[in-house]
Amino acid sequence: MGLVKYIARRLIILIPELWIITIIVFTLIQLSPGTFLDQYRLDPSISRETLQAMEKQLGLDKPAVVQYFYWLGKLVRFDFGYSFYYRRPVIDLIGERLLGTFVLSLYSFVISWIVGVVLGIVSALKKYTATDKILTVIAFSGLALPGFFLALVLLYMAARTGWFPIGGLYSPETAKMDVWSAFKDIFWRLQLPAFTLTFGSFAGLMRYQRGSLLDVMNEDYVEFARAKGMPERVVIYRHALRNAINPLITIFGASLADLLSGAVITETIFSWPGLGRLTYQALLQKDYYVVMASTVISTVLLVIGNLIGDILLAAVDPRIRYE
Amino acid sequence: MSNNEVAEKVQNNVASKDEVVARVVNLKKYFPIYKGFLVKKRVGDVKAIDDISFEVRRGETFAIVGESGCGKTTTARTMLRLTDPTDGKIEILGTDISKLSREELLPFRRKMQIVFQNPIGSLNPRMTVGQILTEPMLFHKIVSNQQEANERAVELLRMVGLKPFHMDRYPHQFSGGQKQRIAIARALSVNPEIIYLDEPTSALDVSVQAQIVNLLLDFQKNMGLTYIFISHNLSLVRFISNNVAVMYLGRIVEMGDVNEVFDNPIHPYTKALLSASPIPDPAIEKKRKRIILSGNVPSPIIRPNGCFFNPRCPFRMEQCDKEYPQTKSISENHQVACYLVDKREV
Repeated sequence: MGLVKYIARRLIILIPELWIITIIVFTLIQLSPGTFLDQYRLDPSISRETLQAMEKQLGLDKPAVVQYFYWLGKLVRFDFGYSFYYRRPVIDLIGERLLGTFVLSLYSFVISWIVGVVLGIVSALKKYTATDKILTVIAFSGLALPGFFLALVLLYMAARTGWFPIGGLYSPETAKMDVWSAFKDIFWRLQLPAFTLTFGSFAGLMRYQRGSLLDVMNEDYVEFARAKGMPERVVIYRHALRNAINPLITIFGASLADLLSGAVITETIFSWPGLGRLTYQALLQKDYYVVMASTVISTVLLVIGNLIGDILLAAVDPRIRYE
Repeated sequence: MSNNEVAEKVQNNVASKDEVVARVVNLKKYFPIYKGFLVKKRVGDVKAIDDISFEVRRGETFAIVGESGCGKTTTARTMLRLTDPTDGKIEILGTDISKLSREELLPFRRKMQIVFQNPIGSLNPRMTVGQILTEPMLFHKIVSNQQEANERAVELLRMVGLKPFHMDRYPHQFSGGQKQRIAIARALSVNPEIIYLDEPTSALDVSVQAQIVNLLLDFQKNMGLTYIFISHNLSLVRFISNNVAVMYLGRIVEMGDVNEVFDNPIHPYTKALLSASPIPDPAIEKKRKRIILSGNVPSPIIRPNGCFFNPRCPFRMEQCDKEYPQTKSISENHQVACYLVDKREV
């Protein structure tokens, strides 16, 4: 019962949280120079009257505050508004892009977690050996290399060798392929952007796993398990690892949000039709409502992800209880 | 444990009062220090234990005292084979266990248990008290099934002054003293003969300390347990132990019957240690002369020439710089490694 109340309370807090965040984001977009119509103003073939008509049609002639509340009023009815640029409901645009982002993010999410956690354990158990040092160097490279740089290098290599397609989710022939070849083609196209994302995120996980396991390995209860004469494998899995997962669960919850918020830079460089690229382009074009919708989605996911993390934590750790 | 078993144990104890249950011979434990990133070079050793020998008899409490870093805990960990000795023998119940494999060690692990200093870290926070107590018995096949294990765990809880309903609780729901009781129950769960007590009371309140000590003494009397007791607390050592070894930088500097060593200390280090602990009588405490040691404990990597204690010793002589003093017996049960022994005899 306590847990249900706790979840309800957390979800209720989400409402004011979301409200404040939308105000901040909306204000920031308003404060940034330029508007959506600027690109049309530069075009001499568009008359003043047309511009005024567009302004009125898009609601840009109203004060910012009015625009905001107009948008908020729609949001309450789960209407994300229209995109200025695409002239289509934002919800449709996002729906189209969601799959691309989800495929890419989930793929790299699963791989980063498996690789990060496994290598973290290996690194901790082989502390200070050559294996640990090599893994550490790789991890720090992953943390230090900016994603855009790695992406560009990969892209350059793909272009030079021709081993990988240089971008996009579909090839021109995808529509003509049978399901299995289309799947293979998409999977092949997924590799480079997924590698870019994975290389940036597994490293952090690996270091967390290594650190938390090493902390626990020094605890007396682990020592006691060894003093019982248990095989080291049992000591590690039954006593050490179970106590070393707390920080990872917290990170897991927080990173759930990444699954649907899109990787702006990677998606842009690899021309991946995902949410990140959509949002980035919308930002450049001052396509307010697309940006706002993407903000709302990220915020809700972040809060829910953290909530899931907290619930998981309570499920695995008897010391944590929510009243 | 049934009463018969207890009685049998006590009888065995009486029958073999002088039986040596643990003997350490020339035990050494060095931790190598490596330098260099790719090519590692051994540049030295931390000599945590450097050639120590002692005997522990059945039913006694053998105390090991000394400053932090002198090798007390490493001695216990090495004797438990939680870390492998560099050299020397560890005879437990007549068998040298220093080179046994993990499987060969199992029967000895059952006979040796440990109670740690910090009760918070010594119990797995993810396990209930019931799981904590039954795991060792099931692992060592002391009991045949979970139900039997549970019954025995409830009995152990009762013995250490806790209640059966505590079985389903988690460690964080207990106080420090209660946790230490659980740790003691866990140690007793496999019917051990030797229990290593690594400062079992130093993390507890003074009032709780006394309860835990009394509990330990009761169990020792009733089950004929042998304790290897590691402590800073010299008055406690005097109260509960029969023999004591004073360690300094990985070596035993003075050893013997606790009353003899404490009433008639020969080694200046023992004297200094004893004078550092206050006497609970203001009149004596006021007049008492304290020996304040100057300087710090030297590094166990680069130790002084001759006697390791010479840079801090108030009685330093010429020969102290040259060679480490031999251990000499000054009575049947009192040995000391110090040149002052010869002076005393003159």
